[in-house]
Amino acid sequence: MLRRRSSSSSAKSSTKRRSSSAGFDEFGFAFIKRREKKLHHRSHDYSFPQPNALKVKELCELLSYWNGSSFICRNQIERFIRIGIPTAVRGRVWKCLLDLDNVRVASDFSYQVCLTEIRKGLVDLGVSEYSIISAITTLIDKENDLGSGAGQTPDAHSSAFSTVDVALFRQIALDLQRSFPTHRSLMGDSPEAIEGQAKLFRVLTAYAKFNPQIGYCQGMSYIAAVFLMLLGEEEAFWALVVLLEKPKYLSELFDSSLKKIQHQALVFQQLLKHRKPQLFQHLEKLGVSSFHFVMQWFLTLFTSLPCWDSVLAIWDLFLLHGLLAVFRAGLTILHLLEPRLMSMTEETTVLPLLLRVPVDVSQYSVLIPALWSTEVQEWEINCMNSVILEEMTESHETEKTKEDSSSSVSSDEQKEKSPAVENPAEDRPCKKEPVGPGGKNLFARILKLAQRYLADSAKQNTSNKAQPASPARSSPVVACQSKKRTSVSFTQAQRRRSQSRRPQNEAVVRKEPLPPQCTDGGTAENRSQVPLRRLKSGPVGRVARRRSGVQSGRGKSLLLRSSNQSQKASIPTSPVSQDPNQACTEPRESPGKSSIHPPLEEGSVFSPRTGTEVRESQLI
Amino acid sequence: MEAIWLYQFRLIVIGDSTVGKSCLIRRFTEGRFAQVSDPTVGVDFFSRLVEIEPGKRIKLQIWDTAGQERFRSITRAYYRNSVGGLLLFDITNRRSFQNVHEWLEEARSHVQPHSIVFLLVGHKCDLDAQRQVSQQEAEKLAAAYGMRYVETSARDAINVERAFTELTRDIFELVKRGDITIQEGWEGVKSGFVPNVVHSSEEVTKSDRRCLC
Repeated sequence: MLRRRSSSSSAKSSTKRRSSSAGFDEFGFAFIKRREKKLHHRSHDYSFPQPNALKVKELCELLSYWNGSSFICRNQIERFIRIGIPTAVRGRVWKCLLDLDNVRVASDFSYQVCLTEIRKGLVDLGVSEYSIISAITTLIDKENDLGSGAGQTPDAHSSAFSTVDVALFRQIALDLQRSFPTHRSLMGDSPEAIEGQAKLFRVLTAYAKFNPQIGYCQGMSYIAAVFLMLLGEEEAFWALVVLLEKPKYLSELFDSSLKKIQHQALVFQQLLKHRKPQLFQHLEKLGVSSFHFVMQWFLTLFTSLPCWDSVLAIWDLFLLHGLLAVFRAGLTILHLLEPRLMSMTEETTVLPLLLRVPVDVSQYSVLIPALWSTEVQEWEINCMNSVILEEMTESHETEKTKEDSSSSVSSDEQKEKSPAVENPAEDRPCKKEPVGPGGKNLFARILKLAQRYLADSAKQNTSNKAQPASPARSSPVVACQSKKRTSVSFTQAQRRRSQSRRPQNEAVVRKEPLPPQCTDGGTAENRSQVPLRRLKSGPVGRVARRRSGVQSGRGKSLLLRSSNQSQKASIPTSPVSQDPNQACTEPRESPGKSSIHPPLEEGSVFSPRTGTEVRESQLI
Repeated sequence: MEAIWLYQFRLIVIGDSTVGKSCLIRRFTEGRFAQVSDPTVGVDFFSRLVEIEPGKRIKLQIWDTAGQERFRSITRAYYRNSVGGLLLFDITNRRSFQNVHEWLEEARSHVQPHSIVFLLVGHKCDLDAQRQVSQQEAEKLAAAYGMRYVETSARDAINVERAFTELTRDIFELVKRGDITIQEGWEGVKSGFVPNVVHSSEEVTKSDRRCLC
């Protein structure tokens, strides 16, 4: 099964594949002797399709008049990504998607100047990126000297390097030979590999200098190495910068606290709970937290998957859609593994499967079609995100109340203190009374969040315009809000649901013109304008109704959620006064209905049907 | 019916970057050595059965952790639910040895209210020519902290079995004496006699195979 070639189109390309240089496959990974195959499982019989010459020509044409802010261009490119980007053109596609040329021109940072600085430091230390092994030894010795020597500060002052630099160089050097150790550009000590490792070293150190607050974090070497496989050295550097700085991609994920990745893992957990309730419950029963495997997906962007053609296809989608694609790919993998996972009864068997996804699931012909049929919407992620933030605030407030019940602290103040909320800019612009320290009607909450999300985007814009947020502080939510819908956004399931229950939903969506959005690769300014336009295109209430209508299909898992929460005890079960909170965010068209609706009791079990009905009734 | 394993112990493997944590675990669980292994991002997970006495099998859940300092905020969450730990340093890298104190402090402050039985491991002992930490020195340090000390090599498969088995035995003794008890909501030690546990046949054969080598 592993050796299966999926389609005739891949057979067509097999001659080409064999002709690639002896010892390495077409992606540059070494063929490993059968006996050792399991050890370095990089090279496989790939199953990705080869688009025909006409399509390739069309794609090249598209790239020649590429405009990253054009909705049409981005829509077109998605079509090509779906067909499969030919390996030879991928570098160009990525450059376009990341808008590298413009980023480079707009920045006043010079890669070459930075390298000169770095090289000065290296010379002072007596090491070179071209002899990594001896560099590691020297750096470690130097670090020992600096660490043990009493006069470390004068020493650091007098030379062009500091202890921080030594530690940085050392850590990067240590990872060079371990990142894709079977790729021709990094493997062994051939001239090509020595050059490849030197490039990787330079790109990573230059990034660490570009953003000293982030510096170097394990995981980055994989990302930079992927770029170096497809782009020139300086392009790879800028690609890394875009990826690690833009909120759409991985900004803040690698920062020294690693809080955001933990937050993203929670969001993923919520998504799983929501989309795959049975699997979620099963994993929870076995004590498997999605945190264990999700972190790797986010920090190394699926480069640990054994089939490289699939990795690149996920990256194509990731570079187009950003973080959303990570959620999507993660969910797809879980979906494909679900039958196996459901039959497992121990954490010991579940975790290795998830941490080392097998070939039969990760091969292109299986994973990528499944990826395209798995939809994850931004608003879903935004809602999950808000649920997490709210839970954190609530639990934080509870702690607070315990500590000091007499003083009444405003929720905003507390939010800022909460370490997990990394983003005060995202704090609800719709200022509200403190959230009561109790479990709340979950439906009302989700509904409210969906509505708040819409309200937020309007307010966010105004605030953004008045005072543009620094990129480091803008949240993924903010970035996502403005993100366009590049395809017809209902999943099959959602469509079925909306057709059967609320036929008018679809009509509403269709009638609404999709705003000519352009934001993904764009700057913060044009990003901020988009939601405004969207709001102009239809009254908030209507959009809210449409969105909540879609959400109603999720009633089941949300109900499960409410019943789970009482067990987790993360939310206390004391009675709540919740109505006043909601008043300000209630939609116009449902005058207070959901707030009038009695709160669902925590811990009580509802049938999914009832749940849906309740929600339907709230919405009409 | 007799359980396949008596107890399940959860172990954590810590130490500086590139001291060889992943290689040691892979040698122990998969029986082979990779010249180069990818840096661990976050945590990784492995498991294996060990037979400490004929017929007495212990299942080990082994958490591999990232060595880079930045990941400590993540890896420290794994101390609490571990009953044992292998603290690795590289005998050819003095700094990794000096950091042993720091690792112990780190573990100690995050394992409360439980405690971890540690084993100090001097890794890469096949590279004796480049040794920067003498055996006596390491033994002294280990004794000061009440730990055992073992020198291992994943490359040459020296003492790998011994390191894990000795640690497992030590924990087993403590469990038998009642110094360590199974607690609800704590993953460190679990009993194999759980009614609803179904054991896969694969694990049985695996353990048999391991025992031969």
